[in-house]
Amino acid sequence: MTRSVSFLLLGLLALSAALALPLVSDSRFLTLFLTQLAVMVTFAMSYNVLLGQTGLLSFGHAVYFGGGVFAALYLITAIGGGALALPLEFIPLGGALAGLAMAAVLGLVSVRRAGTTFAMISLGMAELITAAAMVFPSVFGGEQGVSTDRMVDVTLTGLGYGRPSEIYLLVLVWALVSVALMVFLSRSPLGRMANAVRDNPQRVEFLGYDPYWIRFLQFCIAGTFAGLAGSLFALTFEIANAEVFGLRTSANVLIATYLGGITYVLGPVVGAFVVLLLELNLARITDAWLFYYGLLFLAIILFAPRGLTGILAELPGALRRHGAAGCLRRALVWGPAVLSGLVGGVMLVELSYHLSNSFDPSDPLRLFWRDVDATNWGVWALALGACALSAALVLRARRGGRRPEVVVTPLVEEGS
Amino acid sequence: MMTASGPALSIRDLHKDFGAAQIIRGISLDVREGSFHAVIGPNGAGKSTFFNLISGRFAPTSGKILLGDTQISGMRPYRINRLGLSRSFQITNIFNEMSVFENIRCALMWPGRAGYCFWRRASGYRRIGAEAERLIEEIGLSARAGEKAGNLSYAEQRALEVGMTIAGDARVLLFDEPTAGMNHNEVEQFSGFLRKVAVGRTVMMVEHDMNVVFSLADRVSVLVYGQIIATGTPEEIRQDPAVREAYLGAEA
Ligand SMILES: Nc1ncnc2c1ncn2[C@@H]1O[C@H](COP(=O)(O)OP(=O)(O)OP(=O)(O)O)[C@@H](O)[C@H]1O
Ligand SMILES: [Mg+2]
Repeated sequence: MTRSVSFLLLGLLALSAALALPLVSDSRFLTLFLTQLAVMVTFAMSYNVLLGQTGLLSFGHAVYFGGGVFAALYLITAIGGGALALPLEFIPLGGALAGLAMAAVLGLVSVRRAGTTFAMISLGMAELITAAAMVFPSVFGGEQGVSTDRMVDVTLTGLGYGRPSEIYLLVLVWALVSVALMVFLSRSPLGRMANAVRDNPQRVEFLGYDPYWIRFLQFCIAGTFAGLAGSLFALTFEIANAEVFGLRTSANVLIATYLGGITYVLGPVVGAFVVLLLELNLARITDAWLFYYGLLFLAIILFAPRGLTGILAELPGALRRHGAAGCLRRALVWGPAVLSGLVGGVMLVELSYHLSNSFDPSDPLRLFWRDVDATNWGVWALALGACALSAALVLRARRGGRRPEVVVTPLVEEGS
Repeated sequence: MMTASGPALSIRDLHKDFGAAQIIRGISLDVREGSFHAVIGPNGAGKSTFFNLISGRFAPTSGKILLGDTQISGMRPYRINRLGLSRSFQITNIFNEMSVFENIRCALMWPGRAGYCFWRRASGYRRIGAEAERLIEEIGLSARAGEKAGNLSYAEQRALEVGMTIAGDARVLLFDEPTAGMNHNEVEQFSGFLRKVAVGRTVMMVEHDMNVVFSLADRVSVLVYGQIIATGTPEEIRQDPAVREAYLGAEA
């Protein structure tokens, strides 16, 4: 009870912040960030309908997102040209329908089996659709893509949607509705049985349910909201090319969802937030951002399979079990080890990147607020020293028998 | 519909081969409506395979299975289940990541007519929720209702397995070694529970514990090497010389 209350409060807080921020600051960056966040959250939540709720690992969820993107682009143009008398606010319904239609067709062959078979089929579908989209430049616009103009005359609210803050409001409303609907669906009989199919599809068959049909319906729900997210993307950027169907988009949503934590209904929200933050900020700080992104993903898989939400959710329990003093002791033992490892690792990565990528390797490199010379062996020695220190500290901490508080619990069981 | 006098299950000349291996070699058996029918036999005799054929996990190589008047051989398990046959597994087969309550509720969804509904909340089905709580109480897991099924002790998981099987209104229940791995006290308690569950239903049970078999069953079949060599009352089976030789011999 208290947990759901605190969740609710947290949600309300985040929501009011999301609403208020673009109003108090007219930073375009912030508004765009929050708009993209709303799109990403919807997309990641829809992905988790498959992965977390039904145990279906898809490598091709971008297909349904892309379907929504292009459906929306053409619909917006149709409204703008006067061919369609639909208020702009209802564009996401078109995206959702496109996603649903694609999922209903492709789902028939996809969900026959779970596990590896499903994953491979989803990969094949993604490749197929991307290739097909490339072959029809008249529809998907080839390299430059398809663009549209969302400033149409037909709107419900009278807003022009020319300003970023106006489109942000529209996207936010649809994202919130989608998240609420997906949470609701996860609590319906279908949603509960989807969890059962995830855990043990064979047993479900002996309880009167056809796992195939459950997977299929869940697949359609996921496709619907992916299409809706795609239409929000189209409303935000007004342009896209066939690359949105591609593996990059699919991998991104997988990583965001997993980072957030697939066992929590709202885990993908956390994941989308972190991924977007990294994408937008880390990329400005360092060229090696993708490398760190990959490292973070690996670290989560290895040490915290319940994701960032899992870490947050475990904190109060760990505090209760070990007491404040116990937790502090652990932090003191493990903190320096992790910190020196991070510093050494980042130095090594940055130095290597600088050496191999910069025009003149002896140009000064800005590293931890100081200019250093990457051709000087001294910094390398320092970096290696930090790594060695970290290794030594880890070994010592392990001998002390204090392993970090990592909860490794088996996750999704993938059967057929 | 079923006639009052006909058997609940009738099996005719059932065969199952796995590749070249003939595991079930011509079983014919009638299970009377309302009876408690035990199936005994040595390890590897094909008892679990027999249950797997009846419940639809495997399709028979040949032969017929009738549930009431309905021919069910070769049907998918969920269809057979909807016709009123429910089973438990020798190796515990539950939903590990879900709570005890959720496990039981899932077993009650279809009988409770929730179907594939996605436009209502599962907790809105009051009758299903209340029945789940009652059933959890009955299998003695009330204190553990919120615990993840994967965290339960072995005995608790066995109880949950049986709870999921008896959930709903199946007329025919199959139990595959429900007491496997239980200690003496637990077995004692558990057979009392089974006796209660069986009232008004037809039960088939594979069981190695002869005390349980002879105290609960009103019919016993002996399955040896894919064939039923004898069927009768517990007393008849105890006296049967062929059975004593083939199976009980070691104990007698
Ligand atoms: N899917 C299968 N494929 C091949 N052989 C199988 C399969 N299932 C069972 N068998 C074989 O069928 C025989 C009977 O197995 P079954 O599990 O039915 O025996 P059982 O009477 O239940 O034994 P126990 O008392 O040990 O549970 C065994 O030799 C087993 O190896
Ligand atoms: Mg067996």
